[in-house]
Amino acid sequence: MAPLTPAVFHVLLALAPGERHGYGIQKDVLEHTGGAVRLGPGTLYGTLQRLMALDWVEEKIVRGAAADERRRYYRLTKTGRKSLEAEVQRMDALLKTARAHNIVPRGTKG
Amino acid sequence: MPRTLATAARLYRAGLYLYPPAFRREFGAEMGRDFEEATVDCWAAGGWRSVVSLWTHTSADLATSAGIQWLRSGLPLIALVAAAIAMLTVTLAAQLSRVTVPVPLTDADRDVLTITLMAVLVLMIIVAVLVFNLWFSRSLVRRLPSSRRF
Repeated sequence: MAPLTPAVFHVLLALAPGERHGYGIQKDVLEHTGGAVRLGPGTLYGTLQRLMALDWVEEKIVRGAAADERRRYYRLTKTGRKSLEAEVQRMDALLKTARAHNIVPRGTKG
Repeated sequence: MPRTLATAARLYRAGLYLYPPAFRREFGAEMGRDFEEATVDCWAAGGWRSVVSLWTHTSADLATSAGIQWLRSGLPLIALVAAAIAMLTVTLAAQLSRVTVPVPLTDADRDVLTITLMAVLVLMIIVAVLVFNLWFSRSLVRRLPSSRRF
């Protein structure tokens, strides 16, 4: 499988813990990346549209006190979760290779 | 919230008209709401500096993602094909107008020619209606959640 684009990866990762609405995904991505990645609304909803067409993400009707009923919530499908896991596995293999070549993050070298 | 922020939210909603209609219908309301909420959050977190940074980023996102959505919609390709067909027709008509008919047309020939042209026109209209129906129903299927797709 081809590597996922950064936007697709971040959206899938934000949806991994459970359903989120669009702005929730944006805030999660900003938090996960320490403010380095800000998904604009056009990029976010364009990505969600593609992921829904691929059947990796689906809409979920959420009711209850915590839910904002004006919003649309999205969640991962089984296929979406499998794709995310495959991407994480690919990244993990790359990290192992990098470590084998003694490439370690800055500030952790002895 | 200062009035400028509310005006910016209205301007952004107007800017959403840059997207293809199908995309705007599906996500426009949410995008507008998200922008408004993000502006309020940025204002509370970092004042004008944070808000201006958000607006700059969102404007760039609007410009790039609108272009991408138009390309994805396939409408520019349809416009290009339609323009090419129109150019071809005009060129062909210009060439045909120079052709001299060796035998003068009789009234019966003219009738046959008129009926043939009308039949071609009707066929073209039917084909155009079919193509547009298929095109718009395809974008409708895309808009439906996966559970409701047929």
